[in-house]
Amino acid sequence: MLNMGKGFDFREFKAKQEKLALEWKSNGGKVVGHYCNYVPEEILHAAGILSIRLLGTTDNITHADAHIQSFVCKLIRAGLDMGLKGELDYMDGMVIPNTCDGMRLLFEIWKKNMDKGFLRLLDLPILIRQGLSQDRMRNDFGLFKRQVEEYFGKLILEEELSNSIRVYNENRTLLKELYNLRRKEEGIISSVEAYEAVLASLTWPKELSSELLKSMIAEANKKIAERKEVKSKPKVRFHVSGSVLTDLRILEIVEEFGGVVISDDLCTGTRYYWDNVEETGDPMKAITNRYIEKLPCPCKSPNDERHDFIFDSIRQGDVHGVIFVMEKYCDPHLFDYPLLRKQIMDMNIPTLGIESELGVSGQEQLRTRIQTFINVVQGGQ
Amino acid sequence: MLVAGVDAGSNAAKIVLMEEDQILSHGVLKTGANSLGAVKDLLQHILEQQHKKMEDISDIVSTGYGRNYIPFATFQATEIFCHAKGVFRTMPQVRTIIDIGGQDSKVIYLDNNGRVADFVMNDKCAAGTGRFIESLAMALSVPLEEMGPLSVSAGQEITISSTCTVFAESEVVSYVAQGFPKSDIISGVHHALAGRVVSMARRREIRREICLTGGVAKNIGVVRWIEKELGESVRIPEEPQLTGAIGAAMIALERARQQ
Amino acid sequence: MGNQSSPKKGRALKTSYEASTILRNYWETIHAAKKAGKPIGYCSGNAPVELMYAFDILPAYPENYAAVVASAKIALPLVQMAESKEFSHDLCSYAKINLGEVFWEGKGKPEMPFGGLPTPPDILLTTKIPCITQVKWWEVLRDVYHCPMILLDAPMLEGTVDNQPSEDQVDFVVDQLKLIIAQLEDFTHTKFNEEKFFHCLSLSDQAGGLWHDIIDLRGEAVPTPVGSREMCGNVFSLVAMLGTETPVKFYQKMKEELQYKTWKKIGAIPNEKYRLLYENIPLWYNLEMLSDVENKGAVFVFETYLRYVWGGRIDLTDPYRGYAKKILSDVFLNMNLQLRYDIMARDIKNYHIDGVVFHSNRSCKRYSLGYYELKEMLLERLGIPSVVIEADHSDPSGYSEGNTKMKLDAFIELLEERRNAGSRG
Repeated sequence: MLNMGKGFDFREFKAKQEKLALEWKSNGGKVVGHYCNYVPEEILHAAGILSIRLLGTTDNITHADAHIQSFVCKLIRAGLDMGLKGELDYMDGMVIPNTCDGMRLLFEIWKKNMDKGFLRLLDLPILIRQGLSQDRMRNDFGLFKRQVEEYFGKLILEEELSNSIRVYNENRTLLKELYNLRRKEEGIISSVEAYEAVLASLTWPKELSSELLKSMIAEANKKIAERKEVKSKPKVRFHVSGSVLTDLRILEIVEEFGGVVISDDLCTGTRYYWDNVEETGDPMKAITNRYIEKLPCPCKSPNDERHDFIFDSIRQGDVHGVIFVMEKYCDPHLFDYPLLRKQIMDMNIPTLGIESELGVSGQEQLRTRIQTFINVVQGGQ
Repeated sequence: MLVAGVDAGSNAAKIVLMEEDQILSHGVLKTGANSLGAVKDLLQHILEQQHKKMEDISDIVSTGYGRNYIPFATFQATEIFCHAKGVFRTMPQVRTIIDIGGQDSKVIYLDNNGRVADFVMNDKCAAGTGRFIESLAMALSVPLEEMGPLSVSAGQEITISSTCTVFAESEVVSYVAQGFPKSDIISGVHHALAGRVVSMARRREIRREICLTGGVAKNIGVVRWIEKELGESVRIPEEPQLTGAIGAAMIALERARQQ
Repeated sequence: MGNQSSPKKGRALKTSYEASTILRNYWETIHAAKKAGKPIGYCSGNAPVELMYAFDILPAYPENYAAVVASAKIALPLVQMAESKEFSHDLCSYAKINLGEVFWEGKGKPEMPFGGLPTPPDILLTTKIPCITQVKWWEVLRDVYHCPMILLDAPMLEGTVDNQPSEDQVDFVVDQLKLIIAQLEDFTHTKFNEEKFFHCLSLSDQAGGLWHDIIDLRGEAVPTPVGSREMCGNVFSLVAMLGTETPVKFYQKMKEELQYKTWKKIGAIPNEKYRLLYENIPLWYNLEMLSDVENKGAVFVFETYLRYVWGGRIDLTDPYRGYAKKILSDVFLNMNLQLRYDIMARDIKNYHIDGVVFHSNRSCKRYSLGYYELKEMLLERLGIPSVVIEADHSDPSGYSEGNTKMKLDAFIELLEERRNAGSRG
């Protein structure tokens, strides 16, 4: 199902994703785009809506610059550009969260230029560890559910929510299984394939994504079973830290020089699937609790648990280096980076910082840097 | 009535001498901002050719980045206004002027009387200016004036996605390394520039007709991409670089007539 | 401060000469307090600073201090130091100036005005009301100084000009204020002095009221008696001394002087032709930009930054809710785009504005994003032209003098053409 083995091409990935969405629509389904891991997709799913995480585009920006300055991240600019060019016209709505300042103002600009369909601001608190903000988050999610029901004219039943929770949990559990498998049997699944599978989960119908994951896992297990005693040569194992990683060519280069990515704290990685929803009790309460307690984003304060997640991963003893892929103009991540990096260096783990704008230009320079970094890491062993 | 317009730009100074509504003569001097003294010599040279003297000139208006450093000019106007006047003189149907210079690019929106209704300029980054093409021409070892003609034969589309000139250079270098034909790469460079500029122009309604000025207007590759992005054909003055100086001379004429 | 580069005529207002004394006194007081062992709290803009006074904690303002550093024209080495410590070039330059000082290593540190911020802070108080930067920046300070950090969460205000924050939003902020009080009781081991808090609120309200009167006086008067550059120097006591007597006295005096000047119709410039609105934070390293236009008969008579970021009235009949409402609704950066437009449209009318200068500020996304929409709305709905200049509030490294001057000159030419066209027919 995925375009494996012949090199990652985001354009092809996007084309496939759009084809799936159009199929969904032709079967009478609705489609809503969104921008964030804090959007309670279970609610949309329960209303029969396919929710698609916006991942931007590698095309030139031709319309967005007339509406937003160039000093905001490419994710914001590219999404706006796609919307303005009509590339998102197949969507019945768009949900933009109040996370960073860029996103909050993006909602305003979106509304001014494309106030159509189910366009909603998901206004979320920043202090997720505090009771007051948690109460507000419950209200915000409740409001969101009512808005979905009213706009799409569909009452969401409790059992539908419970079903969606199970569908999402299954998908997350599979992604986590894939993660564990990758980590334990490094190299059995390529880093590119694994992250492409997460991108698919973020943008495809969940049921389809789960099918794909099952077959990937089965195939990997088969490989393991058939494998002779000969162990593959030890690889250099990395943790990748950052927000969105859509240009998987970075991972291709890592693998080209004998590296492998075994863990991450990406928004398009563990932060999306690490935490499940309680399947017992009131489903809305369970959903809200999951988003309150999930592995946090740097747009939440404090987000120490993200940092601890990285440290814990390193303490497992199999991580040789950390690669930061930093989206340019992403203030929350960029503020975290210097001290986080220092803490990792203090654990005797080398780090490499790569600046990205939904991808890296200058492949040759990147090759040099990654190859050198891998040499550094190996020399340090 | 004899007047002169001086456009003291970042790469070149241009002078236009006008007798009433007619352009008598013009001159261009490749110069940096620090050799503005030479501008006076150029003016004197042009005057001599026409058998005129400095004292014959009723008014001199300067424009361009060095406009405040031309001691013999009696009035300073910004190049935005001078471009508007210069274009409107010969093409009164124009409502949108896209000016791509070496250092910056501007879009000027005119009302039906040729007055400036609004304008936008690129931010500090060079990606939307002629400098972008200059530096990539250098990276490709192609003379600047050949960039346009070369790109016309391009086959496939190549995307230069970086808006940073430095990163775009390394992107170009890696395309070369991968064996893409130069014509395709150059076309990609032109497309990137055209995309940036047109995107900026979209900040206001782009009314017809559209005129392209500045040195880059001579590059057929960029012109074609701009037309494609706009879905409109654009008009180009015969001497796109002189537009500013012509406009300055016209303001000088208006001033001289009022006196 | 920092005005060496351009010869400056005297101040338009006599009272303005007192601003520098107030500034010096503030810094002497806070350094003396630190020496005497009193707790110091680093407060972000729009944080509930009156609570600090109620607990006898003296507030210091890293953000305001960064502006002081920038106007002394010594920001660059500090910004570069922060960048060398891996803080991205694209982060807010206020934060980088402060972090450059915090992480300074080696020789060549510029002499910091007023002896620098008192260090270390004993507590940190911040809020997301103006921006998320103030949260992320404070988190770095928390990790450096290992001291408690208190954060006031707040939603952004939506709606139109007559809208107040919703009851839910006010409840949310009131509940948080009470929680912060409990946290401060824990921190200081003292009981909350509510009377003192209310007293500080009353002082803040008085200063805010006087400040609004001042803005109205200079905005409504034709010609305006004082331009932006001078007023940017006069806002300090409102920023750093809200909740104390000082701004109340200072602004009372300033208001009286303005009443006299407007009555006498004494203008800031001899021949006022164009009245401009300045939108966003000024270029602290180049305040001359605000007065340079005066040579061409243009003068800045109103700034959203001076009116809707600092100060604000408080309904003291219901202090907690009144305070929460003020916190939520008086800050331009915490308003949605429609509300910003409505307010600008109202003020453009009240203050007889001819044109708007937007400063698209790389360091402040929250303030700057949406400018192209606002620009279009102003022109299409009100016929008010505007220009966008690109710069940064305190990092001079990317500032292009030629480019900015050209845009402003062309903008004044445009205003002139419009006026000529109007008078002709």
